[in-house]
Amino acid sequence: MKLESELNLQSYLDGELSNRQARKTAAWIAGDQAAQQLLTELTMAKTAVCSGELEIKLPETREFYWSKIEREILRPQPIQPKQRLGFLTAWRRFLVPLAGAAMVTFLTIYTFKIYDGAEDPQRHLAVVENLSEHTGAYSFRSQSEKMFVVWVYNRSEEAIPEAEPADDMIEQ
Amino acid sequence: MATQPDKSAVPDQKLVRQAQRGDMIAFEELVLRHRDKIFARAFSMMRNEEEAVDLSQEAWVKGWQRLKQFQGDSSFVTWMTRIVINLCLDQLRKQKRHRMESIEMMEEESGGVERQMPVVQVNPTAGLERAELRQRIDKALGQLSMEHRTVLILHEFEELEYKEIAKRMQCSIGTVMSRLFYARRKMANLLAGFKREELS
Repeated sequence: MKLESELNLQSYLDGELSNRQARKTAAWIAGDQAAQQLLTELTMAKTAVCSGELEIKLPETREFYWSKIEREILRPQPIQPKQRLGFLTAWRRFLVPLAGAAMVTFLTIYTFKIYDGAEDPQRHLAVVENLSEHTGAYSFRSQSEKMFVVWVYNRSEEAIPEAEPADDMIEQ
Repeated sequence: MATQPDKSAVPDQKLVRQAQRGDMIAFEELVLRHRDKIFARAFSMMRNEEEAVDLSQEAWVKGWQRLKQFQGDSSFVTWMTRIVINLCLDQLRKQKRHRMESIEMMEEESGGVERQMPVVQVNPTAGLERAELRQRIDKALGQLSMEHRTVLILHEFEELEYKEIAKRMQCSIGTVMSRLFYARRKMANLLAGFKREELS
């Protein structure tokens, strides 16, 4: 039986399924002997544990047990560190959004600068990526045409045609 | 010397209201009434008497400090039990960080041994006296891993739903379901083993 089915069976036992799912699971259990046996075992374990909690008595006298609780309750709470923590927390609450806002402003300005640079046609040529030793790519962007082209090529294929004219030139 | 007023006949709800107004004698009466239950829950989770005493006392101190937050949606003892359970879970998490149990964890999540165990077909607790049954359940609980024991206690003793257990144990509902499943399977097999020992 798959774990999913076993857990579904358990959910049925614990009343964690919807009415529709419970009906479906009950029908499956009725026709599956292994499911019935597992359900019997899980039910036995559940019932045994539910009714079998040990009644344990505290191993200390009332007075001794209470005296420690009372002492802790009556102990004055440290106020000084709490105030300092409050001050730091207040500052942190103020600084965290401020740092976030500063980061957003910086990124906005930085992004605008990049796009301003994109108006320069020479900058388009600079956007050439070397993906790997086997694959290369050229990209071209035109702001006026609103166009962005990426040309990906295989370096090994490109190397052969480049070599041919060179040979021709030697022969000539 | 002034004698303390006898509050043994005062119902919990009234004692709680008095304690919320700062009456420590009323709170002491509540501690007296429910100390065994709170200690028992801590002990069932920690399996260590000394730790259970300390954590149950800490729970009472927290209970006093947060008493104003108690709205009476559940009974006072249920509310206190939730506090001690949370303290025990925190303590168990701290202890777990110090333990090297990567293999144990892997086996627990994948079912490990529990998936290979045969299904127990004869009820090994049938005909047992209540006291004997309790002893065996306690012995079996003591042999489970911390995660399996905790999920069983929260589900069977505290009657919490999967979702609530997942929240308290800080794990997914799926993890709760698989832990509960393997815990029950192991429990059934442990009880069957005790029965075999008895017969042999």
